This record gives sequence, C-alpha cells and structure tokens, in this order.
Amino acid sequence: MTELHSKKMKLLLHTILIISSILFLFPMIWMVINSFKPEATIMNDLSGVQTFLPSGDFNFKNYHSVLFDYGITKYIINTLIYAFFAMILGVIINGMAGFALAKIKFPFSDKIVAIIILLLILPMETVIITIFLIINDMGLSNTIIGYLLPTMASPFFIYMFRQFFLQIEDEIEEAATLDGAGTIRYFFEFVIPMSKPIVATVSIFIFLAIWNDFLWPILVFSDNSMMSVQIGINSMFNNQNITLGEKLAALTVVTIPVVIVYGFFQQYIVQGVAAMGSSKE
Amino acid sequence: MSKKQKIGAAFIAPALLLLLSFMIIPFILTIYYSFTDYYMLMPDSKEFVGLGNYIHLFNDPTFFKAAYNTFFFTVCVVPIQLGFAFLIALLINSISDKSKLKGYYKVAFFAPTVMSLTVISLLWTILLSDTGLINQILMNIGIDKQPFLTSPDQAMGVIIAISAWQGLGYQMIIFLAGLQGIPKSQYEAAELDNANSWNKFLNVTLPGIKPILILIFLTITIGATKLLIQPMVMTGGGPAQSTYTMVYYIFDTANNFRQVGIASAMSVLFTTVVILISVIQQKITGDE
Repeated sequence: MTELHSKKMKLLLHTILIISSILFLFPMIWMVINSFKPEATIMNDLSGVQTFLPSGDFNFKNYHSVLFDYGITKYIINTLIYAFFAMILGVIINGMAGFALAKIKFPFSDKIVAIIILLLILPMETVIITIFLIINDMGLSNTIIGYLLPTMASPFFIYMFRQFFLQIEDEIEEAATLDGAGTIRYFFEFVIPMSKPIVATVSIFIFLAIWNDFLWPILVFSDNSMMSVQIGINSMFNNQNITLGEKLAALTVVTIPVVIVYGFFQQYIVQGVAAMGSSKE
Repeated sequence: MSKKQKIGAAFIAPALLLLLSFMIIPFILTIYYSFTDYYMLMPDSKEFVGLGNYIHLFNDPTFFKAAYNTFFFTVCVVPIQLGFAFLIALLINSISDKSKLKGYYKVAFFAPTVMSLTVISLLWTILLSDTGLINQILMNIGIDKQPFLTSPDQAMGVIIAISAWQGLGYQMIIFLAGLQGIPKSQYEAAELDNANSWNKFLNVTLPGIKPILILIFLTITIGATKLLIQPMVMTGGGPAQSTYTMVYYIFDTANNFRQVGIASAMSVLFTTVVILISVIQQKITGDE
C-alpha cells in the first residue's frame, strides 16, 4: 500500500472498526452499568443516553441479593468443582491419547486417527438422550462422576494434542532416552512442560465447556443441590420476584469467571488456535 | 508389540474406552432404538416396530417445520457469520502492530463469544422486550416499536443475528492467526511483480487462508444445524413453532414426551444429514 493514500485509508479503517466494535459491545456495557443501578433508575435512564452511563446512586444491592438470596453462589461452587476435575482428567486422558497417536508407531494408529476425525463430525446433541439412559442405567445420574464420564474424552482435544505433538522433534526424545527416561517419564517430564500452550488451551476450552454447559446438566442433574450455573441462572429468571437489576447482576456474575480466564490466558488461546491452524495434516 | 507400543496402547486405552462407551455405543444404540417403540417410563417393554417411527415422522408436520427452520437458520447464519468474521479479521490484520487500537478491536469483537449462550439469550430477551432498550432506541429515532421475539415473522431473524454476533469473534481469531501465518515473503514477491492490493488478496491471501476457511466453514455449518439453546431460552420454540429446531424437537420428544424411539429415529435422520453435509462440503472444497 502506498504511503499517499494510506493515511486516508487508515482513518476510514479505524472509523469502520470503532463504530462496529461499539455495536458489538453495547449490550454488555449496558448490562454491567445497569446492574449497579436501583430499579427505578434503570427505568428512568432507559429513554436517554444516561442508560449507558453510571448513575450517582450506584450500589451493590443487586449483587448482594443475587449472591445471597437467590443461591447462585452454590451453583457457582458446584460448577467450579466440576470444571476443576474435568480439566485435570481431560488434559491427561486426551493428552496421552494424542501423544500415542502422534509419536508411537502403532499397527492401527492411522485407523484410529481416521475414526477420531469421523467422530468430530457426529452431532453429540442427538445422542445425548441415549448417553443419559446409559448413565442412568449405571446409577450415576445426580453424581459428579455421571456428569463428567461422558465429557472426558473428546475427539477434538485428542486431535488438537496430536497436531501439537507432531511438531515436537524426535531428537528430543532420543536425547531424553539417552538420559535414561522411558516413554512415560518422557511424556510427563519433557513433553507436557514443553506443551504449555496446548495444555493451557485445552484446559481453558474444558473450563468454558463446563461453565457454559446447559443441555447435559439439565438431563443428568434432577437434584437441585447438584445444579450447575447456567441452569441455575435460567431457573432464577423464572422467579416472579426477580427485578431487572438483579437479572443483569446475575448475568454479570456468571460472566465474570469466564472473563478472568480469558484475561489471564488470552495469549495461550491464540497460540493454541494458531498452532492447530498452521499444522499440516 | 514392542514395549513402547504397549505403553502407547496404555496411553490411548482410556480415551478409546470412553469414546467407545459414550460416543460410539450410544450412536449404535440410538440406531437400534429408532426401530423400537422405546418409551422412557417402560424401558423393558420395548418392541421392534420396523420403520414405524420413520413413517410416523414423515406424517408429522412439526418434524418438517423443525427441519425447515433448522435449514433456514443454517443457510442464513453461515454466510453472515463467516463473511463478517473474515471481513473483520482482514480489517484488523491490515492495521500495523504498533497501533494500540489493534488489541482493543480483537477484544471487542471477541467479547460476545466469552458469554455463554444462556447468558446472551437471557440478555437479549431483556434488550428486545416490548419495553426494552432496543425498542426504546427505535422510538427515540422515530421508528415504530417492533415485536421481535414475539413475532413469528421476526423471531428467527433475531436469533440468526444474535447467533452471528455471539459466535463470529472466535472465527475472527482463527482467521487472524491464519492471516499472520502467511509468510511476508509471499507478499514481497507479489510486490516485485507489481501486484496491487486486490491481486495480492486473490493470489496470496486467499490461497494462504483456504485450508482454514474450509475448516471454519465446516465447523460453523455443523454448529449451526445444532441450534437449540437460543430458542429454548428465548422463545420456547415459538411463536407458532417459528423457532422450533430439529435438535429442540429431538430433545422435547425424548425428555418431555418420553418417546425415545421416535426421538432416536429423528436423531438418525439428523445425523445422516449432518454427515452428508460434511462429506459434500469436503468433496466440493477439498478438490485438489
């Protein structure tokens, strides 16, 4: 691009991007700002620009009642526990499978990879009922194990791990073997520490999947004390007494942990996705 | 088998066992159930009914309505979401890394994907209500109030727009990574040939991004066919079944009407279509 028209182009580019980014962000900005306002102020402000601005009487009342009166704290804690175990198990199970498929010559490894790619296409939503019937037959409904078992192995994550591990030079394993490390030690002491971007990416994806999960917890948990956060917030909205401000506070509360995760690990997410996109199949 | 292969087998065994138990066997069972009159409250008395469930579905107008809605949603949302994701990625990519705004743009367009589908559905229900913010803005600029989610003519359009808005940030990030992965030397070589911006786009950018484009096209399409949470939370499938989708109907049939046999037949048909779409897309796009 020549220097001459690049100034004008730049201005146009930024104008387009700024306007469209505001169109993208305004619902969230409105949600957060109004979650701090008393009910009357939300309604009064709605007809003017002040609806997007903080008011003088902002307070944490809505948050207080969401966290302590509607019991969302319990749903948050439940979900954090589910996510914690899902992340650890998911990384180990899918990581080991991805490593075996990338680095160990098997009689059937090509076929297994083909099956895993095929499984990527299958829409899980349509067999989720059958999975529930299996979990129910095993007597595992309303348990954390019943919830986690079907979600642990993922063709997507196995594939991501495999693609990442394919890029690791074989010389590193030869060097590790000379140092006396077997395959198991090599995997846990060399490969995993070398693979922070993919481990972080998969962990984050698992966290988000569990945090945002809606359909599976509806089926597997009928017991309210086991409920996860998205179901909790949805049933909260059906409460006749909940105010608009409380609704907005609840939506913000449920979004905050995800924002924190993205804020801390943004770099890893981009790296992980880029690694997947650029690796050759 | 060498020792290393044995360890490899042990490494892969847990994942394979889980995939077998909770993906492959459920699929096979679903096919089997689709030929039975499995009723959830009487699991032990299921009998073989042949193609009965399939014949039932072909005489069920709700099934065709749900199939049509799912098709309509997919055909609309895929080009919109893919197009805007690609366009925004191109615009952001053309900004120099020195610009402080570049990071802001990435975060801004990515932000809606951070929120769960449940949260965005609940939020937009508030925004689009009769007395909500959007209608307030419309009235302020002199446009009539719109019914949005309560209108059979508008509800699906609204869900399409919200879904594209929510999802495209993720594809934008993948596109951006792909665009940055195209070697600078290819652009420099094109410049030596006096290529203009458009030529560079056609001859360097597009071929460089094509594998990613195909991958994203496939994932968005398959994702779109599974539309469920937005109508479930926002409209309950209405008004007048205008947002009732295939996966929603499968879920209702099994979980609320307890008719596992019929739901399974729908699942089999739906899965077949999704696999066909994937195969056709790969045949068309991956021709070389």
